[in-house]
Amino acid sequence: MIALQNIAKKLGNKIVLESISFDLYSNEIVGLIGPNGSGKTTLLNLIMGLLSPDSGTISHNGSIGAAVSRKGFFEGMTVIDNLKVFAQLKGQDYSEIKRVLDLFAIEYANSRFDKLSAGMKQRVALAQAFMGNHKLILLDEPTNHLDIDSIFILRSAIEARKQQGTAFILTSHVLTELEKLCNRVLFLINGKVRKEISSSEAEFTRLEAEYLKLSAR
Amino acid sequence: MNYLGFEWHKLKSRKWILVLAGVTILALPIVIRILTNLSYLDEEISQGQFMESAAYGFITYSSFYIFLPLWIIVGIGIEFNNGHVNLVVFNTSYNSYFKSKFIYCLLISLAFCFLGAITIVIVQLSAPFDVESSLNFYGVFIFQSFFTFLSISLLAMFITFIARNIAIAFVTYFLLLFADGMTFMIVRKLYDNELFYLPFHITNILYVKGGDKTVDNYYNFFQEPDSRAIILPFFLIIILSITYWDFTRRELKLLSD
Repeated sequence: MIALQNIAKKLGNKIVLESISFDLYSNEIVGLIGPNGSGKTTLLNLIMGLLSPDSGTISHNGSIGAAVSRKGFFEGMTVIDNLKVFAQLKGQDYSEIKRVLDLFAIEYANSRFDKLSAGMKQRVALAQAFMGNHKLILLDEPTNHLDIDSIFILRSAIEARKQQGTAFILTSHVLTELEKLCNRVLFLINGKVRKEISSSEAEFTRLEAEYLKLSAR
Repeated sequence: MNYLGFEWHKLKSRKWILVLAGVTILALPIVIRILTNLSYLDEEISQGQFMESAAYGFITYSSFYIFLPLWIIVGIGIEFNNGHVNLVVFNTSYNSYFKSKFIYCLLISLAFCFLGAITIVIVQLSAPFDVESSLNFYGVFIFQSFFTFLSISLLAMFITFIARNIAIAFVTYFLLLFADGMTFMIVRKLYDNELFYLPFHITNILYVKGGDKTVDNYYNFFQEPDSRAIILPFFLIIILSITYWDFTRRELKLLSD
């Protein structure tokens, strides 16, 4: 699905990522764990093609969807008009908008984007990412600002898409969330993958302890 | 991607754009009608210059005094400010985003050209004397105004793409406009030389002689073609190429909350 080989990236004078290599296959969910500034968002922006790696290669087949930010929407536009912009970008029919609105239980489609709470905006950003038939979806801290019901909705949306063959890369500071959803987690610390744990390994249920050990706290 | 449909949807779905459209549609014809009539009543222009004055006034006022630059700089700059450009590039490509903004400039230039023609009709119908004007006059005006608006739009697009920020683009646009005007004036006074190829003067070459903005210099491009206008397309190709080169090579701001 996607293969990263020896990715390195500097932003300004700071080395943000170094020797990042991993593969991701269909139906797989990979979690990225790391402190703020460890390079998670930079890595997602590289996969999205918004940044170019200084060295290394990223190859993938199939289209990619992403919710890495609540930015990129027009504040003065309604939710539905914003989603129409993305439907046009992705070459999707407007019926796809109804599907994602229902999927994320968005009942405020005619409200202006700037009038929404952070959690409501997050659901719109997620709806946008799930629009279309992407083979890979990138989610940067997807549960941020979501209420409990919305987290349940997101979890089932991810599971359903996984069953259809979609792969996911998601970052989160909520380790229990990653334990529930992921097949594998990568510990990204100071720009390097320090450890990779698969869900079949016993350590997978002790992500917190592992994180503390790796980040030397 | 249907670029025209894409840009049109973004234009019609935002309230502030509708407000700006309302202000532009109301203000420009009213201002041009009042100024032209006042110039005639104050005997600054003759009856023969009446229509030329309206045509000249419309192109000059809409191009340089806030209207057209506002539409281009805010319309494009807001997408850099709010990160929308990142999502368009991610879902399509740098090339597609660039094309969509070129189409946006075409669309806005056409809209201003159309509004200009309506304004001239209004000025003609409400003139204090019987004005004779031919279809040929309107044809020439539409040609001159459309290409002048497109040139100014592409120049404003260039500044916005380089600045990648509304406020910086606005300040840069008006500083350059001021510097351009001052340089032109000083060189003409001191050395009796007209620097018509300065960025803002070269965009005027289709409707004012030598890029020198006075009503007296408004001319019919087809009757007295200025051979120097040949430089304009080359100038536009150069600024479009620089815009594209810079946009596709300089990384966008990181998309994150």
